[in-house]
Amino acid sequence: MSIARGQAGRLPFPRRREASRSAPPREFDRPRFLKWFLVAFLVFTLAPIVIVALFSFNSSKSLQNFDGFSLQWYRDFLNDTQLRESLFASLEIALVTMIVATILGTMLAYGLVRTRARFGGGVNVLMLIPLVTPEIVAGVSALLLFTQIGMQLSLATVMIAQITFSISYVTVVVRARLAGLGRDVEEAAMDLGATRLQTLRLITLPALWPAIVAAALLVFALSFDDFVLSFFTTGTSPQPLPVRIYSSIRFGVTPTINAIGTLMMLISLATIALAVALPRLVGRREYRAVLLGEEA
Amino acid sequence: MLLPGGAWLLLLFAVPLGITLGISFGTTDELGNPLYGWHPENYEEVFDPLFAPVLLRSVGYAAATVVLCVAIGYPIAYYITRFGGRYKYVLLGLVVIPFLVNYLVRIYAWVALLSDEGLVNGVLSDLGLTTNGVQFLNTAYTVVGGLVYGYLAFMILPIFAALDRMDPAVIEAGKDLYGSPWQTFRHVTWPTTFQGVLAGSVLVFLPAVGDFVSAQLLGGADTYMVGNLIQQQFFGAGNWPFGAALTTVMMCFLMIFMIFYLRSAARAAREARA
Amino acid sequence: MEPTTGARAAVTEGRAGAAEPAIRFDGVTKRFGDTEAVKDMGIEIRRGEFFSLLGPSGCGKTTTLRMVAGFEQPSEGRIFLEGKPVEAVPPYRRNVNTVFQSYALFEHLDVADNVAFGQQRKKVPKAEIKTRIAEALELVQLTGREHAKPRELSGGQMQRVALARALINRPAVLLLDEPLGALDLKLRKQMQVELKQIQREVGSLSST
Repeated sequence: MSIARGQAGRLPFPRRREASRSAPPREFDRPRFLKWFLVAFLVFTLAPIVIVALFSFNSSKSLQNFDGFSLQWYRDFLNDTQLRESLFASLEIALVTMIVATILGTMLAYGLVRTRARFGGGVNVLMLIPLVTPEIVAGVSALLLFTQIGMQLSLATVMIAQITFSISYVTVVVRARLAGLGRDVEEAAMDLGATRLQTLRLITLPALWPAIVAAALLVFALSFDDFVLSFFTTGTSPQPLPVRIYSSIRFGVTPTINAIGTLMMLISLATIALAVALPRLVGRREYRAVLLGEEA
Repeated sequence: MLLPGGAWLLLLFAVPLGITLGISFGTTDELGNPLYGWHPENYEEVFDPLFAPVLLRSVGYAAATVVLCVAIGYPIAYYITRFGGRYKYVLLGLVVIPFLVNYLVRIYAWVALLSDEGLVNGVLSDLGLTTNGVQFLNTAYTVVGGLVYGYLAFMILPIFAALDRMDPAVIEAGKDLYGSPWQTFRHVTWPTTFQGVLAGSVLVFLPAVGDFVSAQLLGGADTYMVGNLIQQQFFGAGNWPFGAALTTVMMCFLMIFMIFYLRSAARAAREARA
Repeated sequence: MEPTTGARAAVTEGRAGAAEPAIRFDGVTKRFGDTEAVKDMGIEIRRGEFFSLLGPSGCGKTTTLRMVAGFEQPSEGRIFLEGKPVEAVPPYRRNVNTVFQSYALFEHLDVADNVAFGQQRKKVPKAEIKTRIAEALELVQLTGREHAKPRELSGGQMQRVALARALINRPAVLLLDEPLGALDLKLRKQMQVELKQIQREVGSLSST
């Protein structure tokens, strides 16, 4: 057995390298090789994005030479009515999706954790399946649904489709937090005289708040960036931004896309940054209130 | 409480899937509108020699993507968890940030870089290495590369979680027992983190099979994947029921994988408890 | 007598001359599926009594307490609190307060707000609440910690907050679920002494 092999002929200190059997990379001093691997990795993954951002400020059309700083591509982008409409469409869709999906998802999470309904297991499975469904399958079935019931494709159809697929993300995030909270605290509240509604309002929701906000921001980011679902369910105009980008790229690379891409990047990153920073900001406010003796 | 969310999901997710299944057996009228019917030959057509290579290619590309993601992602996660120290989460953040950017924008970045007028060709010709430019796009390699670039984060995160959960003392003990770092890895580290690798593989494989963005933008007609095929059916002069059939076949195929994965995970959980 | 590990205690308000028992179980049985957690239990606990339930884990102690508090309903039999049947009375309307084994403090509220919670539900005026909080905290020796958050407190302190939170409402029945189990020996001895002291001061705890 392995242990016997390990003991036989291997004294505590010497570490014999089995040169004949190990793959060459392992022979290197591990931290050094891996470290440079990581550096190379970061360069490769960040470089394309940085380059796109850089060239979005290029004063010429070239993708090879940086000829000077200019904001013309951004101006082109914002002056193009179609593109501008797409930007606002994407933001609008993301906002609505965020609100509706968060509400539905939170309710679903609460129901799954706290209710002992018989069909709870089935709903749970139903909630998990969208998470593993490839987007193209989702897109196709959504498209078929809308056309079969005679609904015109538009921003609304995009919203409906995206909400359907965002609910599960919210439920999973909120449910984790809710389960961690434990039943005790809610029972303690009821024990002390709070009705179910009051318990929800005064105890459960405040404790759940960070998870709900994080889930909401996640949905916003996912929805804003979404392509495949939007592609299948969008009308002709206005279209969400990623769909427009896709069409543009099909016709060839133009510098305006650099600008659009960079802008989208900023919005996505800002959303994620907000999701990470928010709990810390809120914490500080609570602390300050306590210091000043205000009511919590 | 359950009701609104559950009802929505039921109506807008489960039902459409049913519709997809239904249409897949249908046919079209003269105008190309889908009709319901019983035409199982749609499914035969899926496996027609004309289309079968596309299916196989999709699976092949997705599999290659998974392998590459493991090969690249595992060392990254390993370095960060073992040698990251205080900066562990900072490094993880740095690694993950590119993946927060829109997939489309990222693929576009590669298109811009690798196209004939792109930066890479520009540098190469400036260096005098090439005169007419190298054809980067439109190959299987770029498509798979695009897929890897798209989904790598889904592999890194589960592996990171699995490695992070491991007790470093176990690796030390392994080193004492096995001597060489490679053996330690093979007998100790890898088996322990295997579930993480499996989870990452599933998270990469499932979307990769159905992806069409990468193949469309970075490849050409020779690199078509099943996603492109499906997309054509619905947006070209295509056949909706056939598209539905393709979708259903793909979904079933992936479901089989999911079931295998879930059983493996359940078994591992049981063994861990024992 | 000292409450020992694994003990649950029910403490009832002492009121001289009252006839009705504070808690009465009449043929109470509680089943979970096929398991009988509590079987045909009949018991009377009078006002002013300090009643301990002792037994090995899993023998139904917590279930019994939860039935008194209102979180479980008996499968058979009836429970009477202060002479009145309580099947239809939800936990938030019973004159019962519980000190949970896990303390169950509200993490997002400070000590003062935790303790005040029950009083606020009863719509007691703010000025009155402030006085009562001060009294309650003094009772459990936590004066001065009004603005601390639960995460800043030690286990023993958290338990005292939980106790104050329950006592401030002067319930007819006070339930203590494993009150001393989570504490180390020294702390446990300390709490036993304090509980007895509280009982003497408030008159709503009596030890047997």
